[in-house]
Amino acid sequence: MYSASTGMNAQQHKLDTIANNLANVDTTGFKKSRNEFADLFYVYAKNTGAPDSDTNISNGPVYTGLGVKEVRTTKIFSQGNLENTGRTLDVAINGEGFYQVTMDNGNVAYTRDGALHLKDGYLYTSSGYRINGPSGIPNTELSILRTGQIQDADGASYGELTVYDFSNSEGLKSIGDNLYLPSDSSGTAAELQLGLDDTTLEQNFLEKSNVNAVQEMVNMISAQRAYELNSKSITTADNMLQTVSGLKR
Amino acid sequence: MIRGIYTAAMGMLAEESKVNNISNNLANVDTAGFKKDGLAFSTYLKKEIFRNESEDHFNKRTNVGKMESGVVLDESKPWFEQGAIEMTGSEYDFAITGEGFFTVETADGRTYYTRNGQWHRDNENFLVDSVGNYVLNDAGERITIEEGFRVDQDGSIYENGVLTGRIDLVTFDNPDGLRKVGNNYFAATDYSGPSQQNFDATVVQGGFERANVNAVKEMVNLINAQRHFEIAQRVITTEDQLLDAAVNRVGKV
Repeated sequence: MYSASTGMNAQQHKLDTIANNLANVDTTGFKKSRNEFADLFYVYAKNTGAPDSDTNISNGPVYTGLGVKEVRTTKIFSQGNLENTGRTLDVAINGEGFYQVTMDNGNVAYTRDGALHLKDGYLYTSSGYRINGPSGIPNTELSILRTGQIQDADGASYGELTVYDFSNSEGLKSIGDNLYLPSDSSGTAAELQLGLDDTTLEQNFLEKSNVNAVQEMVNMISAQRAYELNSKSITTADNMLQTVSGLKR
Repeated sequence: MIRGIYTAAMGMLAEESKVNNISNNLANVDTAGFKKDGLAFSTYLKKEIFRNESEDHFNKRTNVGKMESGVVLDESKPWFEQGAIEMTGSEYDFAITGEGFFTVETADGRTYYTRNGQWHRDNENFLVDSVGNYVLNDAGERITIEEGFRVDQDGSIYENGVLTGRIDLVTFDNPDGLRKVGNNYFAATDYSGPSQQNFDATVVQGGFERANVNAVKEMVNLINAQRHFEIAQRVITTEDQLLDAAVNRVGKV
């Protein structure tokens, strides 16, 4: 009964993750998550070779598994599709890397959200965080090169957008608002050489989320079925208890 | 008559252990590389029954067959049949097709074997599994990787086209003797024999092996176990009624 309840818990977590992935199917630069499970402990009633009560030598162990646990939730940083929006300040990162922004508390965070806005000469993400780097940008027709340089129509330069990468992006901590914080396991941010390091910026494009709706729906159906199966184990165990209580009339 | 009650009770206990086992299999239906467990039962206290025949003052015993008084759970063991491989495209997902195990080492130096290939890179660039333990190469060392590594079908690791090692792939004389320890791990025992490296294993990069639990089979087994349980219970209540008759009605005028 308790093994099955750990199974229902695990499927509940999986459904939560799927729901969050699906909810963010239209979030610019969103990266989907995945749950990873492992089996729980095993209780050994008898070890291999232990004699059983019939004085025979048994040929195998007797053990009972105690269910399942969730060991990890992993972000999957595969590239999302690039969508042509025709908007000047939509700048998608094509390849690995993140923009660096400063949060209200002064800490540095990272994002792949490339729907930028211009305010007071600075660039902001759609959630309102200021991109570190370029300043004093005029409100004119701008062109942003694949290597990050920001230029106006006359070719005058206003600094460049920089992109940072981590040795282990999977280790980044997701804090909402499309932001990621570095952690012990992500390593430190290193500036990428745009154009040289297989990463470029694409003006007029937005990176869609990497959630595949079909795949998520399939996962959702299988998670729901697995949930039901585990509930069947519980009802069976319950019915058996009822049968036991039927022993005494 | 009394013996029948105990025999039926042992049957109920056996079905209960079956349901425990099925519950664990179903709970792990989404655990990568999980191998379902099967149970083996054996008869308990098998006896030969003889008929005593008196012939010319000699006792002659004729064998009339054997009688078993119950059933016990004799053995639980993992079934190593292949699970389906789900392709994810992630360079950190691995699966073995056919026999074999990956080797992992815990932080305190213990070695375990697993079919779970959902791996990651930690902050020191070591290849680790989902629990955070280290994946070993065939020299028994922890594997360090860089971005853009590639793994061949035979487990050879290439970084930028340069061969840097091979993922340890092992098999056992008697895999049935492996001991399940949780976290998707198997431990070697005297009965499994030591791990052996020389065999042809096939590794898939970009996919992981799903549990080999078959939901339909498990449901059928679950229904079976429940019905058998009920039948054994009915046997006990019937025996009880017989005892009732013997105690309260025999000798009543």
